[in-house]
Amino acid sequence: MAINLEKGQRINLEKESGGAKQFRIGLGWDARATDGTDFDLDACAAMLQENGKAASSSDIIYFNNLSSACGGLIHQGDNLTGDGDGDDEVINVDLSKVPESVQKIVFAAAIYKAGERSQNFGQVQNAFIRAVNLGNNEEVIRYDLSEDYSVNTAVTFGELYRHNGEWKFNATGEGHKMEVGELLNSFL
Amino acid sequence: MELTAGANAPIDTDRFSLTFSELGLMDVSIFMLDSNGKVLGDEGMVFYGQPKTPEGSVSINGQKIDFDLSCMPASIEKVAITGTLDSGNFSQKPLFKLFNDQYTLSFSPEGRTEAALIFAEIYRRNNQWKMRCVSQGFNGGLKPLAESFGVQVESPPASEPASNNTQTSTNIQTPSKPEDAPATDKRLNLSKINLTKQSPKINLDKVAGALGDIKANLNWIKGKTGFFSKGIDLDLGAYVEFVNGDKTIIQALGNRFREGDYIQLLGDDRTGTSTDGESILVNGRKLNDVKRIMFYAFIYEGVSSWDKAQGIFTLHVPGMPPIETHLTDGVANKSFCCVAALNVKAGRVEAERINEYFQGHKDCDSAFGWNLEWTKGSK
Repeated sequence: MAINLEKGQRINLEKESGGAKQFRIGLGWDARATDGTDFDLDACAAMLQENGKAASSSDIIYFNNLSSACGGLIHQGDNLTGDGDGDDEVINVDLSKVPESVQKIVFAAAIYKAGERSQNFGQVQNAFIRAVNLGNNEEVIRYDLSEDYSVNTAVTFGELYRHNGEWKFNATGEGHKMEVGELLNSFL
Repeated sequence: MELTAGANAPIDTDRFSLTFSELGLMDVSIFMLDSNGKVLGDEGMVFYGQPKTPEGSVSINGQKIDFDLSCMPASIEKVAITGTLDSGNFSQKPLFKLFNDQYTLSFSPEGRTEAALIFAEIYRRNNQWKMRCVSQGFNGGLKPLAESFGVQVESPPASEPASNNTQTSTNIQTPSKPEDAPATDKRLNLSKINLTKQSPKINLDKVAGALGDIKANLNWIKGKTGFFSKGIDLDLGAYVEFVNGDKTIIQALGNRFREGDYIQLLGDDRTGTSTDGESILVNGRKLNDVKRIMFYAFIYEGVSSWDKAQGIFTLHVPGMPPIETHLTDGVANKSFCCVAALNVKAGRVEAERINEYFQGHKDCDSAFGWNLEWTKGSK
């Protein structure tokens, strides 16, 4: 059963996903067909403590820090152009490996050097971000960035958070006009 | 509401227009695209030479593009509005806008490198029509733009196809008709007005005397020049008839290169090695004295059949896209083609495609009532 979340909707992943602990966050877009600087979208994630901040920069997963020490978050690599089908950047999540102190994991995507290159999601073709439950390979949620976040350069897509000992997912879907650096630093 | 690059917004009405703030900056082409973003066929394009779709969902009317989404074919998912430049890029153009009473899309020249731009897309999204400001394009102009929509663009003929046959006057070729290609053939000449049998006339929309220099050009495939074979020599000429009844001929044969400051043949391209072919310049400011000018082409030597020469006749009128017609459907034993005419009627100038083939000057003369005396000549 695929669950399509509206913005701000929350689901209990353990219940809806049969107690699944492994998820795939996929960010996809089409390589630029027109002339000009490539669109370089980046998927990132931050493991946050009780105070809403990351314990250290090593808990922020992005193109220069591809995996967390715990192994709970693994970024499969930076794609600079969007070449290839399906998910172009993937972060694999294994909740069973995430330390107890982590209360929340935020997932986001942003355009690299969006300001300097005068780019936004609306200029990118078929940009999306989605979460897939690896337990049953079903898409939990998908946002169309090209269409619904067109004038934004970054989006905090959703967050996994602990609630009464269970993991839940909150589809935040919040668009920002921020650079990757700005976005990531906001978690520190 | 201003739609910036990348932004989209819903369209809530079936009938609407978009207007360009400046006219004549570029050639406008509109591509009707399927779910794969490709043009479906010849009818999937709207431009000056084909200003509306058969069902009328999109039409170009001067500075305005009119839409009627109620009759948009179900197969069309997206309509791309584009502009291309013949030379240079959009950094050399002034800022211009595409607008209606609801939305404004601005295109600044700053930092532009493109010679072809996709301005906007009108597209279906969850049973709703929307508009997106794209503002992206191609530095290479029309060709890469059209190719991105699955349209192949004809390049001007650069060289004669390899052939070991030495052309002689007895070698009769079966005429081929590239213009009769099946409708699924997506090869179109995009930026130009094509005068065809179906639409043989175009009104130049300016009064005689207000036009600048009109250039008539004939170009063709360059023949092989070797010890035993000469290059293909096509000649361009014109019959000029004045309001006062005077008439004359402009052509290289007989050294009749000009008539006052009315009309002039620019040199004679004997070998076809010049990339520009042959041209006749008509002084548009003096067309008031003229009744009609008929342009003709004839095979002086070289090939015996028109499909081999692949001649293209083009009229360049200031402020208009080039108007062209192809000389490919002639028959082998008729080496003279009356190509096109400029008719001045009640102070207005009209370009007409004729494309009729004759044995020679005399036949053509009697067909069109020139009533000139003809003698044999050589150059």
